[in-house]
Amino acid sequence: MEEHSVEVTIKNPMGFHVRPVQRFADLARLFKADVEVHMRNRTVPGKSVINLVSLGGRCGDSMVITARGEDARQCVDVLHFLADSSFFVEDSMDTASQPNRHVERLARMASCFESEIQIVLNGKAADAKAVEAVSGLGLKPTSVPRFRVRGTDEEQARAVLENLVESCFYVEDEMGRRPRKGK
Amino acid sequence: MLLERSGVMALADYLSEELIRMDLASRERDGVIRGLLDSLVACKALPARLLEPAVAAILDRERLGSTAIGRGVAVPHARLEELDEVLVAFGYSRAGVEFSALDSQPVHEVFLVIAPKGRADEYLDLMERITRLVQNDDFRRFVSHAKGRRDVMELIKEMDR
Repeated sequence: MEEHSVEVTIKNPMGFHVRPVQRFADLARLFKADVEVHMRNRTVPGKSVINLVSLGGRCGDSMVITARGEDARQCVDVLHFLADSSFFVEDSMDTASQPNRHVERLARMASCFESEIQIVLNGKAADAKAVEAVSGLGLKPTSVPRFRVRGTDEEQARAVLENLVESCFYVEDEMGRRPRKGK
Repeated sequence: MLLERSGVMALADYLSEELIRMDLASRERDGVIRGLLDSLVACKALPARLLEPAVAAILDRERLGSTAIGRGVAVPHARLEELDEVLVAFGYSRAGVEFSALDSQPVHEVFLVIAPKGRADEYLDLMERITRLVQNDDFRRFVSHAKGRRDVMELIKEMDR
């Protein structure tokens, strides 16, 4: 069975609290791989919000994310990017200096997958892994693009990208202004 | 209401019987949040002038993602600049509350937390205690059979160790 791990440091001033944990578990659940998180001398399932919050992770703590299963590599890459991006928690982020962060989040997430991914918006298509190409489409955090995905990990890639779209790319000023699918 | 607080706080240090509501009247998230904040105001833990800012802050936080964390538990929370201390209220709903949970399950146990800005370690300690407690199936089973607030208070004292 394929196994991948990465060690990351929590950079969020308020630690691994409910919001970062939810985003971590939400994305982890989109993969078939089993996910574990080791932190503060405990190991818990990485898809369980309750278990992850119970770790009480502080800013500066390191955690090891381990995934086992056919899509373990992609899962770890996505979660690594999320953790490196402070779990997209924007409380202490200088958001004014990052107006294009939704495009960068999309391109970085898409790059975690082997599949060829095109984003389609207003009848135009672009390589979803290329920041400049996606920027050229005029993508906004509230846009609802379609994706053309082809490759071995297309199911997971599509699920992750649709999660981003449903969550307004985690641009917090825009979140919750549009009902989530199925709610 | 003044609470004795020193060193590492147990969950029971934040609560009193007055801050526990059994069989919540509302089945709607917003009504439950307001009801628990009313308890904090009634106990004089939360100044009345901060009631509406607290409601707004908690609902604003819910907009970023439901605080229903699974197993029928929700932890609506927010930070308020004007507060001096971390405040907690607990509510139980036999019928269940619609909280837009990711698992689509109704919520039965609600721990509402409002905290001053900062105080990250205390806040994380508290969340750690709450989540460890609700992972205990016995806690949730005993709460569902509790005769009143006193039983729940005793249960929390006993099980949050």
